[in-house]
Amino acid sequence: MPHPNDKLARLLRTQPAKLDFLSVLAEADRQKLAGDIEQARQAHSKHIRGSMEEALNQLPWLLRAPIRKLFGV
Amino acid sequence: MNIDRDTELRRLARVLHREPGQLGHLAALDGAGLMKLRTLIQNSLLEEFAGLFEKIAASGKLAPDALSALLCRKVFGPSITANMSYYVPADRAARMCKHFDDEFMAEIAREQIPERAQEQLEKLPVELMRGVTRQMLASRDYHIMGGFTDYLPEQKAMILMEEIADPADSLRISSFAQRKDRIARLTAQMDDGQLMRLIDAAFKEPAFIHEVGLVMAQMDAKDQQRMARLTDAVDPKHRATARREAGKSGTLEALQAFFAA
Repeated sequence: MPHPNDKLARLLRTQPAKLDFLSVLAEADRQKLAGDIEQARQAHSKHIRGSMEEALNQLPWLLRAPIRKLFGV
Repeated sequence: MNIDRDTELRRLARVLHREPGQLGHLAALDGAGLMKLRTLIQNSLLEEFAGLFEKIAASGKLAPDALSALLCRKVFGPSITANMSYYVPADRAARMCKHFDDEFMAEIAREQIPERAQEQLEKLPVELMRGVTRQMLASRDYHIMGGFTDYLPEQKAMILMEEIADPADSLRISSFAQRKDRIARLTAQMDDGQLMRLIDAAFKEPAFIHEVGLVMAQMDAKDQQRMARLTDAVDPKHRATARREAGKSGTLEALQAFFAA
């Protein structure tokens, strides 16, 4: 049986049991929180990828591909 | 540590790009729960790219500080530099900061998680922090400053307070700091004139009266009595206003010495 905190645990990269303190929230509130976290995660990811692209654009284009490979981006 | 729920809600709202009023669905969580949630969210965001930041930090390990700092400024930018900083030894990070200007350092600070930057805050010379403080005051980044206040060595915080000319700004920063006990100790070190200006600013906005109440609640009886004397000197009606506010926020008992004086 899935744990009620499975989705949040996935988003927060932790174990569902470590989110027991969130059991005071109703299911609908937990869903809303998951939506908030997902949005924050997407915004953060976009921000970091954008910053990395900007950084790579500062380099001579011949270096960009090997550096992408080196850093895994 | 006594976790103030409103303070934590403001900080969590910033992390989620929301207004505190939009987080009504978290009403059942107390201050400690909100803090735990915020920390988990911040760590999960950092972990998503941890491998990348670690690799970038490792790639510059053998380069001289000045060259690494130049790459940070010219190539990586503040966001990547901030995230990478957690994987750079604090001594080296502090040395690299000497090659950054105030604006770049402020941009880095805006991206950092104060909890994770604690060691760097200890190593960084306070003189380098003055310019960052001025930059952040100018850009009204009170939520960042409040977060850092919780982890900044108190001696440094005391020195940096000299940069805050407007007492209302001190209260705005305090409203984002969770360690009200630290704010109380720093406040108690102010001279009478500074405190009277702070009290005057506080009684101009209900949210500030609440904030001062939270800070005073962490003071010992002697400091509360001093605050009472200075509050009366600013306006004898203020303490009655403060009592009403303390009644609403449940701090009456903790402020006994202030009201009894």
